[in-house]
Amino acid sequence: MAKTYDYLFKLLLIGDSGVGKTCVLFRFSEDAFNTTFISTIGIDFKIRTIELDGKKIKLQIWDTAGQERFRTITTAYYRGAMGIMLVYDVTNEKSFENIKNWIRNIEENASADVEKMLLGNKCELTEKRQVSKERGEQLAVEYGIKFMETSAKSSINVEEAFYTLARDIKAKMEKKLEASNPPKGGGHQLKPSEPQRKPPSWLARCTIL
Amino acid sequence: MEDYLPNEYDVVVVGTGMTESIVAAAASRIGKKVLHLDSDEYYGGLWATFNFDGLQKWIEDLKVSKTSTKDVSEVDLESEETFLKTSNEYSTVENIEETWYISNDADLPVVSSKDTQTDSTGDGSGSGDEKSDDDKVEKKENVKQWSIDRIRKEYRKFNIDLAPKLLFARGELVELLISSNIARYAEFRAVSRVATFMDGKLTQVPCSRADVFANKTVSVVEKRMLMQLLTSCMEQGADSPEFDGFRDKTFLEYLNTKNLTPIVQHYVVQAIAMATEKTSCRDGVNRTKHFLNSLGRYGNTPFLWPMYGSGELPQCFCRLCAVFGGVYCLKRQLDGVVIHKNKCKAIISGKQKISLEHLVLGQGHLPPEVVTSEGEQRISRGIFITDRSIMQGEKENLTLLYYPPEQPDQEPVTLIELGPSTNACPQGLFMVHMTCKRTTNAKEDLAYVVNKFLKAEPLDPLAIRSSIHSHTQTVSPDKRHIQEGDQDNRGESTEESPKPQVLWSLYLNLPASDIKLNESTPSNLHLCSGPDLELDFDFAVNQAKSIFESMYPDKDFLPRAPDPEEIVLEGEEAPGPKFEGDTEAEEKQDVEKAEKED
Amino acid sequence: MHGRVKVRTTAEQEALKKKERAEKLSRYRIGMSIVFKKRKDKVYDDELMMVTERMVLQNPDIYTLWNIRREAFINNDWDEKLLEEFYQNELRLTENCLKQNPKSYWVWYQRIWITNHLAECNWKKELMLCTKCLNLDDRNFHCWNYREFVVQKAGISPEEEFEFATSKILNNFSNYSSWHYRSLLLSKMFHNSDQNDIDEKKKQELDLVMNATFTDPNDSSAWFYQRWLLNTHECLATLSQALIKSDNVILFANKNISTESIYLKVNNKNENVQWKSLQQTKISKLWFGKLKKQLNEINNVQIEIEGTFYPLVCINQKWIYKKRKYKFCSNKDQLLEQLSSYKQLIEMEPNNKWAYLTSILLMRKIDFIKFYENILTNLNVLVNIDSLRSNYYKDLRSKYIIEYKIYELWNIEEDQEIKTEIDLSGLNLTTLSNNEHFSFFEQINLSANYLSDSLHQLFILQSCTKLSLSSNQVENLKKFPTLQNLEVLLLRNNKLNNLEEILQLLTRHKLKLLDLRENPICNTKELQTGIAQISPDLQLYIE
Repeated sequence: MAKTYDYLFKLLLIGDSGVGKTCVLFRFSEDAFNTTFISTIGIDFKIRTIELDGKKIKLQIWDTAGQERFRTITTAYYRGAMGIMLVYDVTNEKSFENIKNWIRNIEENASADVEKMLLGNKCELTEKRQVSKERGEQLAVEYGIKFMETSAKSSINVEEAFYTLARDIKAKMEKKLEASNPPKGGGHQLKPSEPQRKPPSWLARCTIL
Repeated sequence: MEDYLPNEYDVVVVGTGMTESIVAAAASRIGKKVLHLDSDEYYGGLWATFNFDGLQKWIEDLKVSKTSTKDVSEVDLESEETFLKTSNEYSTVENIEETWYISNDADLPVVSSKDTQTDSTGDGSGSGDEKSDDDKVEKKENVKQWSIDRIRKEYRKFNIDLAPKLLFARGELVELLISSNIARYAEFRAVSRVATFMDGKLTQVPCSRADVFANKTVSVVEKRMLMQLLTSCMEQGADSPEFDGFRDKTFLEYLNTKNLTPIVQHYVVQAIAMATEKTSCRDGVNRTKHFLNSLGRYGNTPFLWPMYGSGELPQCFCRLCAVFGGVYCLKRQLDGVVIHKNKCKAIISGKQKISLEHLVLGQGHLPPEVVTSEGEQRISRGIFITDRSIMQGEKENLTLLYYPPEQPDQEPVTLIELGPSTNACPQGLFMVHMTCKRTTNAKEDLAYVVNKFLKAEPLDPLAIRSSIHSHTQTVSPDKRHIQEGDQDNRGESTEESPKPQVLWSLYLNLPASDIKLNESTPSNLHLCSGPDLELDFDFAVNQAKSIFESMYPDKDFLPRAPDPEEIVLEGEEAPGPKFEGDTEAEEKQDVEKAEKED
Repeated sequence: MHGRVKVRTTAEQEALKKKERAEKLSRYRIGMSIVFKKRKDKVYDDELMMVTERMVLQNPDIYTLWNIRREAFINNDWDEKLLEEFYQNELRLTENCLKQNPKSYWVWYQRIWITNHLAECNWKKELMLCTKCLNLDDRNFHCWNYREFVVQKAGISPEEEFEFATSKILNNFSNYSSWHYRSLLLSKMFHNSDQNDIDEKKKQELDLVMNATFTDPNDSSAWFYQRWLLNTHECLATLSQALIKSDNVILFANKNISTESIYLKVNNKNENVQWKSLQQTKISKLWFGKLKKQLNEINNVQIEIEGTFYPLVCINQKWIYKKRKYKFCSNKDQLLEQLSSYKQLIEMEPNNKWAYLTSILLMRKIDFIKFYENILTNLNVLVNIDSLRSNYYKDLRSKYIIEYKIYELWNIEEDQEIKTEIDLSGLNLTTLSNNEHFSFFEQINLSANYLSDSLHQLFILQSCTKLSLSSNQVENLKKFPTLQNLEVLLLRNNKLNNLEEILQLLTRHKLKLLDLRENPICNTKELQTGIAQISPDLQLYIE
C-alpha cells in the first residue's frame, strides 16, 4: 500500500509493571479505557496517525509485552525508537524510584538522541497518591526531559503528552534534515510482499516475444 | 531475591539461544503457556551480541562457575521421581585470549593536532605524510587516535557477536521471519560485497547480473561462461541429467569438464559455492543454487546481516513469545530436572519446582546423564577490531570472504567484516569476524588467515602517525566523486593498501554444535544446539521446526502473527466515543442522505 | 480461550471490505456530482479543490478531476499568495498520488503542468524526486520522461546527466527505459560534437553494450540499444543521388530534409524548382522537382544542401550526381573484433537470434559487399531458428539483395551513367523496402518474386515506364498505386480474377501494353470488351 503519512515515529512505553502503560496506550490509540483490553494478548504496538503543522505523522507505539515484569526487556525492543514515554504510577513510590533504573536501561540500549518524556500516571487517584507532582517535575528537570501527569482512566493529558513528544521528535528531525545531516539510515525491514517492480530474481530480464 | 514464578507451564524453555527462542515463540503462538528462562542476565547464550563492556563482563564471568551446587538431598521429590542435576559443561568456551595492540591514553606520545589529520582530499595513498604539515589542513576535523581508554569509553558503539551469522535472502530464516510477521522486530543490512582472494589480492566477486555486466576483470566470453554455468545450476538443480555422470564426483571434477577459464572457475568454486576440493558435485550445485536464489531480493549479494548483530534475532522470537503471553525470567538458574516414569515432569529452579509438559533445553543446561556424544563440530572464532577495511572501497562495505585452506591440515575460514553502519563499531573502525572448524585452538587455527589479511602486531606508537594518514575509511565526498567517474573499480580492488592494523583481538573456542542425546532421554526433553559452523541460521530454524513438530505434530509452526489492526479487542463491539472515525461517520450519513435523494 | 488472539475471520474481513467498497463508491458518486455541478456553474473555490483533492488521492487516474483542477488554476480569482499556495499544494498532492500509483499518466502530466506554471520551481528538488522514484523502480518510463523534462529545465548538461544514466545502467541493464534514455542523451551530445567525438563515444558504448549482451544474450533491451548504436548518426545531410532529365529533377539525401535547404544552381544561379515529396510531407529524403523552364546552354549544375555543394555531370543530356562508395566506417577494427566475439557467442548459444542478427548488422557496417554472402547465410539461419519472425528476415533479405543489386549495377559501369533499367527477377523478394533508388529507374523487372503483398510500395517507382510483375502470385490490384509514367505493365502468370480492379487500374494509367496472360481473369468474357471501352488503343495480351 502507498504511504499515507509524512513521518513514521517509533515510540516506546517503559516503566514498571502495573503503572498503566497499556492503558495509556489504549487511551491514546482507541480513546478507550477498559481493563479487559489489558488481558488482550498478541498486541505488539498500536498505531495512530496525527497531524502536526500539516504533516501526517504515523505514531507506532510499542508496548513492553510484559517483559518488564522480571526486567527482561530485550535490547531489540529499544532499537530504532525515536521517542520513549517513561511511565510511573503516582500511587506507587517504587515505580517512581525505578524510573532511574529505566533511564539507565535506556541509556544503555536506546539510541543516544532518543527523545524522552516522563509521565506520572493514575493522577486521578488523588487519595492514594504517594508521589507528588513536584517530585515528578523535579526528576524530569534532573534528566532534562518533559513531564506530565496523566490519567488514562479519566483521559487527562494523554493526548497532550503524545502530541508533545511527537512535536519534539519532529522538531529534532527537521533540524537534522535542515542541517543536511539526515539521520543515519537504518537497515532494511523485510517485507512480506517484495518490492514488485524490482527484478525479482537472477533471471529477471527484458524479453519481447 | 528470587522472583516467584507461577508453578505450571505447558512448555519450559531454558536458554535463550536461537533454537530455544524459536521454539518458545512457536509454542506461545499456538496458545501454550510458556516459561522461558536463562541463567545469564542477557539474551542469547552463545548466540549473544555484546557491547564492549558487556563482552568484558562476559569474559570475566566465564571464570566463575555457574554450575548448580544443589544436591539431590535438597530437592523435595515424590515417589518414583528422580532428580538429574544439569551441567553447563556442554557450553564451555575455551582458549579465550584477549589482546590489545594499542596503548592507553597516558602512554601515547603527544601528537599535535596538525599531525593527526585525516587526509580528506582524497590523497589517501599513505605516503604523503609530509604534505599534512601544510597549513591548509588546519581546519579539518581532528582524528583522535584509538586508545584502549577510548574504545572502553565508546563501549556502547560496539556490538560484538559471539556467533556471527548471515541470512540468505531466501533462506529458511528470512522466510520464517516474514511468514511469522516477526520481521517487524528486526532490521537488516545487505552484505555489499562477496570477496575472494585471487592472484595475490582480494577482488570483489561479480555475483549479480549487474556485477557480471559491469565487471572489467573478465572478458565478455568469460562472462557468458559464468552466466551459462550459473544459470544451469540455478534452473536445473542437482537432479538434472546435466549432472548425471557426476553423482559420486566432486564439484571441481564437474567444473573441469566445462572448459572454464581459471578465473571463472575460481569465482564459482571459492566465492559462490564456497566449496573446497572435497565438495561433492551435488553439494556444489545446491550451494550455487542457494546462493543465486537469494540474489536480487534485497541487495547486491545474497546475504543479509542483522543490524546490531546476530544476537538480536533470538530476542525477536522472544518478543513474539512474550507478546503472546510467554513469561520471561533471566538470570534464573536451572538446577535440575525431575524425571518420573521416563518423562520429564518438572524442573527445579531455586526454591521452586515448576511442572511442565515439555522441556526445551539449550545445550548449556543438559544433565550429563542424557548425553551420549559430546560432538565434534567445534568452532574456532577470532574477533578483531581494525582500523580499516581489508579491501578499501569507495563506500563503507559489509564484506564476506571465504578463504579456502592453504594446507591440508587447515580448515576453510569464513571472514565477515562489518563497518559502523551495522552498529558493530564506531565510525572509523571495522570489526572482523573469523570462523572455522576447530582443529587445535582458535588462535592457531586462524593464524594463517590473520597473517594474510591483518596486521596483528602491537602498534608502535611512533608508527601511529603514518597509519592515520593512510586511513581512508572516512570517505570524503571528493574522493567518492573521483571514484564514481572511474567505472573500472567495480570488480577490482583498488590500489595496494596496507593491511588493517588490529587494535584489539579476541580468540575463543565455542563448544560443539552436534551433541547427541542417548535413547533413554525422556521424549519430552528437547535439545537445542548451540551455534553451528554454517554461514546461516538454517540449522537452528530446522532444529526448532522439528522440535516443535515432535511436541505438537498437528499444529501450525509460527503462523503469521496478526497486525495490531487485525486484532479484535474484547468489548470492541460496544466501543466508547469514537474520535478518529467521526468525520467518516458524518460523511456516511451524508452519503445515505444523498442516496435517498437520488 | 486463554492465550488465543481473536482475529477477524475471512468472512468477517470480506464483509468489512465489501462495506468499505460500497462506502467508497457512494463517496465517489457524491464527490463527482459536487464537482460537476461546480464545473458547470464555473465555481472555482476552495471546496472544489478540497473535494477533488480528496478524490484524486483515492483515484489518481480519474483524469477529469485533474482537468477540472487545471481549469480552476486558470479560471479562479484567488490572490497571488493563495494561488502560490495552491500550486505548492499541488506538488505535494501529485507526489502523494505518485506514491500510490507511480505509473499514472495523468499525475505526471499534472506535475509537468504545475511546475511549468510555478513562478519559481525548485528543479533540483524535482530531480531528486525523479532519482528517488527511479531508485524504487528503474523501469518506470513515466519517470524517465519526466526526468528528461526536468533535466532540460534545470539546465543540466547531457554530459552530466549521462553519468547518472550510466549509474542506472550499471545497476540494472535489463531496462529498455534506461537504454532509451541513454540514447536520447547521446543524440543530444552528438548534436554538439564533431564526428570524431561521436565515433569515440560510440566505440565506448559498443563495448559497454557488448558486455550486457554477453551477460544475458536473451535480454532484448541491450540488443535494441546496440542496434541503435550501429545505425549511422550523421549530423549533416548529404546528397546521395540526383538526376535531372529535361524538366524533371529527382534527388535523395541520407536523411530527411526540407525543401528550404535544397537549392538547384544552374550556371551559378538559383533555379526556381517546384518540389514535391512522395507523401506530400514537409520533410523527406526523396524529392521530385519540376523546373519552370527547360535547361538550355548549361555550363554547370550544382545542388546545394545545407551549405554543401554537389556538382552534377552531364551524360547523354542527363545531369547526374551519385555517391559512389559505401561509407567508410571509422571503427572497423573494433567492429571486426566484435564480429569475432559474436561468432564465439553463436558457438556458445547456437539458438540465439540476437547474436546472428547483430553479426549481420556488424558485417553490413564493416563491409557490406564483402560480407554479402555471409549476411544472406545468417539470414537463412534466422528464418529457421526464429520462425515466428521469418517474414521479417525475408523482408530484410529482400532489402539487402536489392541494395546489392543496385550497387552491382551502378558500380561496374564506367561511364557514370545512371542505368535506368534493372532486372530483379527471380530473387524471392518479399518487399521493395522503400529503397529510394527505385525512383530513378524507368524499366524494372520484378517478375518471379513474392511481391503480392507489397504492391503499395510500387509508389516509389515514380519514373517507371515499363514494369514487370509477372509470376508474383498477385491476387488483386487494389493497392496498386498510380504511376504517372507507366506505359507497359506485365502481369503474366498471377492470380488476378477481378475485372473491376483491372478496369480501375486502366482508368488511372495511360497504358500502352498490358500483359494478363495466365491469370484466372482471362476466362472472363467481359474482360476484352470492358478494357476496350476504357483503353481502345491498349495492346492487350490475354492468351
